Amino acid sequence: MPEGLESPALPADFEAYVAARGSALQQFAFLVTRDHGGAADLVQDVLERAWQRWDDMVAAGTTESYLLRSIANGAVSRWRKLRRLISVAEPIGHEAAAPGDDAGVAWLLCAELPPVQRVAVVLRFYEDLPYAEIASILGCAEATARSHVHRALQALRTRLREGEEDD
Amino acid sequence: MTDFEREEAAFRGAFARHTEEDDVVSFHPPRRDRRAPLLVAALVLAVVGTAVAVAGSRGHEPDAPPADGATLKDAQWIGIRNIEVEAPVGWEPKYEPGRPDCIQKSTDDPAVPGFVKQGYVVIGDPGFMVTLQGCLRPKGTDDPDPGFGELPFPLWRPYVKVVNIGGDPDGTWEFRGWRLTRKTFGDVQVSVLSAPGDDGLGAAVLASVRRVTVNHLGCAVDSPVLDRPALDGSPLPRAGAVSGVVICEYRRYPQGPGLGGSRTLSADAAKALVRAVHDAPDGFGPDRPSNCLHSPPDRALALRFLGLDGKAVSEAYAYFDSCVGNGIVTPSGTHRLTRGDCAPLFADAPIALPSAQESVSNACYDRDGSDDFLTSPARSR
Repeated sequence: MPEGLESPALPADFEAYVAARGSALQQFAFLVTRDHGGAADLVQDVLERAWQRWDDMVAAGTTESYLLRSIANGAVSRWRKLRRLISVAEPIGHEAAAPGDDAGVAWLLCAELPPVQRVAVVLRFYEDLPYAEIASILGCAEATARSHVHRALQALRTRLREGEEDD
Repeated sequence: MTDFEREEAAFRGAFARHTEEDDVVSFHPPRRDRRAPLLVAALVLAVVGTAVAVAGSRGHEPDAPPADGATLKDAQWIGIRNIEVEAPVGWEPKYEPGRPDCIQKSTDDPAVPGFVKQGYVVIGDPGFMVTLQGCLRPKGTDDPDPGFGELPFPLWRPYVKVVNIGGDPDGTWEFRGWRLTRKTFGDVQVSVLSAPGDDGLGAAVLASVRRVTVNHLGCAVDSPVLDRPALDGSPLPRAGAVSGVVICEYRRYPQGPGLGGSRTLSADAAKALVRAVHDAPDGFGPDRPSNCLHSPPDRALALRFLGLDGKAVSEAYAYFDSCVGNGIVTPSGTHRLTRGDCAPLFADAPIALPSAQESVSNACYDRDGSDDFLTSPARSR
């Protein structure tokens, strides 16, 4: 192999972390982007950047928080970029979940939530993080993090009741 | 099970259902390679280059020209939330009363002198109400379709309206050469009333519809302002360093929060506003009496201060919709609402102050009977 193109072994801690958490990070990225391909690209990108400062993050104990924050920021940025490309000619309407399928209603609602709210509910109800950590990841006050989750819950409540009124 | 428990279970169930093993693309960790930084850099450049090419400018993607060639000459952009449309330039924003039955005695003669026929635009619903005063005109057999609304025919003026959806149906109606066209785009409804001889106006306006993430004045369609977040960024500049202010209104619509009206202040008005904010007492207020529910506001303003190069240099939040926490919040501190720093924010359409605590109203409501309200035909222009 030509000089400079050898691939030394990955640092044990980075490799072990990726092996243990890589798929979970990709699942988190999918839930906030709702795009399997985009989620994979996003996680790859985040890990490649993290790898360059891995030792510093491990020393500071900020690895998980950094990675989740980077994925969340990447998802929000991606959402803003994609929103500019949506054609007005596309049909506008709501898919419908099966009657009584609360999880189906919640999934469809997530697509309509503002991206920061979507990230907040995924961090709260998938990653099971406390509000202080959610606030740290989102870069906001804890009260704001609570507000994001509260607004999403209110929106879901309204949607569930609408579905019951239609039945 | 409480509502909260049901909603939490719904979200948890949704996330669990969509992260089953067979839904996840298998993960490949990056290889550590001395070329990696260059490869990553090259990849980033390629992605950024593509993004710039397709994104357009200022956060909105224009639609392709309409197939039938309908276009508006001399147009202005108006909109709320993430929808903007073109409207004829010179049509100023107006507030329509809800029930104008008693503005003018009934007559079907549009040739009566004094009737104003200049078009106008409606940008959002300001929330003003007009009480019924007991002079409903009798219904006639030749009345226009109810879809046109309750404004008496002699008072009709052409308009373009962009409002949050509220139950009015989409469709097209015609009456004596006037044509009303209404269409919904997501949570926003666009209505166009064209005068006789201007049949193409509705088609041209609807063909111009575009979705935006940042509106034509630089207001983002989404903002955290209603959640009262801490505000980061550059401190409020001095008056001499400001060339304008963009006022962005955010409202808590039934479908969720979003951008309402927006407008700009001239350089002189912007400088006066900045001086007033700097001069206002520190802290929140007026907050007396504090006799309301201490809930998050339903309306708030984001103020974007433009530097001498026309670019945004600082942002502030204005709160006025409660009995607690009212004031101007800047990255460097908070300031009470005063006549100088609040009244200019609501001086012109389409940003209205429909109701407020008395102390807030005294600071923020300084109307002199302006022409933002639709006037009766008796007032000439």
